[in-house]
Amino acid sequence: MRAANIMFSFVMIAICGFLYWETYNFTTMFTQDKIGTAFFPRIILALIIITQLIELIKSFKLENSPILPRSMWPISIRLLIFIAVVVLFISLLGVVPFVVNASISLFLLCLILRLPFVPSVLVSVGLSVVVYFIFREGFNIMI
Amino acid sequence: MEFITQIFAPGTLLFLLIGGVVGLFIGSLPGLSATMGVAILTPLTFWLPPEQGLAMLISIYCVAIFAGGIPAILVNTPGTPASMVTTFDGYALTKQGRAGVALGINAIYSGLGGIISVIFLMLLAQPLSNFALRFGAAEYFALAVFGLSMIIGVSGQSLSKGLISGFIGLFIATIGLDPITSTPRFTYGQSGLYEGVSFIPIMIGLFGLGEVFYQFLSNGNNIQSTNQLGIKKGVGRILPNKEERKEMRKPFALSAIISPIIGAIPGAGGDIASIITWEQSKRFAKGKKKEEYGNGSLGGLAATTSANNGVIGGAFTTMLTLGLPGDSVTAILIGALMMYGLQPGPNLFVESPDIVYIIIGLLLLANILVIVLGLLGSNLFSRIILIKQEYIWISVVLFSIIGAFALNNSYFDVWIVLVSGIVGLIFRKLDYPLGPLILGLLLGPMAESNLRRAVVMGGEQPLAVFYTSPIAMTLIGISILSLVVPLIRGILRQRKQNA
Repeated sequence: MRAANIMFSFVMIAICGFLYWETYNFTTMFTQDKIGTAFFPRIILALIIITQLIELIKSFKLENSPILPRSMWPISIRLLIFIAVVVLFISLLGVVPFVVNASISLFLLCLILRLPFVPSVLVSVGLSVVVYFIFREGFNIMI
Repeated sequence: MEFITQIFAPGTLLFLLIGGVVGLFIGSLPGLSATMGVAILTPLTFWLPPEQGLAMLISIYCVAIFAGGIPAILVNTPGTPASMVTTFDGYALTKQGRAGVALGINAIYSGLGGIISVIFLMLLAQPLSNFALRFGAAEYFALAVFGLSMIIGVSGQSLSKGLISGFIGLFIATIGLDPITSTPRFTYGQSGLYEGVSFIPIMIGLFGLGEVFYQFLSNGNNIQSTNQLGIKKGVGRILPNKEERKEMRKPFALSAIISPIIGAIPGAGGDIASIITWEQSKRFAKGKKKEEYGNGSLGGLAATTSANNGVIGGAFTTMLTLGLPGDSVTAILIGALMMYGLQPGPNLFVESPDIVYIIIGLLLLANILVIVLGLLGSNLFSRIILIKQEYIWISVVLFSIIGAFALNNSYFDVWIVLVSGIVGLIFRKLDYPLGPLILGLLLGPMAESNLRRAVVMGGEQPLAVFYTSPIAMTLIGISILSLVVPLIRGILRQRKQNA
């Protein structure tokens, strides 16, 4: 996981560097507060950058390996599709009726997981209806 | 004495039972943890009165921890991390054809361990909270630092990764309005961020959705078919006989004393307690009995199973009296109590003593339920393991999303769950522990607001409030020691290896 660790460290350092710079835009009211609004986030962000730098150096000592081995490609693509379906499901919440949205999304997830067709339909629809009734009728939540 | 009526109200008992059944499913299915179950189902309890909601969550917690021992005993796969050591002797007993007795021991000693730990809670909670009532801003800051120093203990193999994870948790806690001056920080004009990032959606994402993504990526379609695991139709005799009970007496007593103390240490849970108690009871065993450890020892099994539930009372002691999470489940329960408008800590004993007594009563009942459910249904529960894991993943996805939405009727919280799920997956893949992140997230606001209050109170000498308080100095001293000692040990070990 050398490459993945290095990449993660670089991304984290970049994000924390940006957020650290952001703290200079905070309004500070020193009459009320001696330390200031930005003090705590700055300390934490500086600590993340320092420890992440240590981790980055340690990562270079790791055995060289690709971010994603070729053998992991098919399952990673399936996971990406799985996450995409979840994103679609969340995006359509409140737009498409819940039972329809949930049933289709769960059925698609079942297909991605290569589950048998008929049990997938039954589980997707059954689960969606049960959850709808628990939340809608039981807890009076508009889903 | 109204709390007794509330505990034994039909609604409370019903949710205790529902929680027990849910906990049984969660614990019995490898890959689903008590943390995940409590995180996903916490939003469901928001709509219930506190005593009923807490009954369900506490019951899930106690029963799931015990039920983790069922697959550990039957198929050598721990249902929860706490039951990892249960496999040592539990599975060996199954191979000897004594699965029933092993399951019986798991039920009885888990429940008894839990009950003794609740007695520990009853004895210590009031004095500890009376002591903690003397705490001011400086002491609370020191307490938060002490809690954060436990990051080292839950960092796993890499201390730097544990620290990064903890610092990220601390950083997330700073998002939103500043606790002293209400200045927006890192909100980028998003109104959903003004109140900060909600704790429970993050937990649901990290431990629910994140776990599903991780298991999917790790296992794919290579999940072992549980149908081929050779679970027999019956498990045989369940209750241990007189001789067997005699053999387990000492290991159980040892475990019952040690486990609540381990549980009271923030960050140390059932997994650590079961390893320590198993090793200690092995050390005290003699002759042939000592050799049996790891090969089907009844004493070893009794020690580990009682340790799993034995930490619960200790974890609750720390949570209720100091507001520090004893383990990841109590971290979520702190969030659940906050959801009900209750702040765990010494003031809880003054402001809402009834809720403390209700929690203690529910813990006792939940541990009794462990014994009853365990003994009555050992044969039936061995079937739960046969459920295909993919169907559970689908259910977890749905409950994670809808549960997060139900908290505040907020789509923003649902997106937080998804982002946290992806972060959880990346963390798991890159070996960044999640425990420190939770500690940071929970203790960050406590540390920051009390530090700033203490400095304001200090007037001309802002740091005087810290070094003039013996409690604050002791806590900070312990925190520094717990940070420095492992570092020195690591350096010495490295030098030894180099030499």
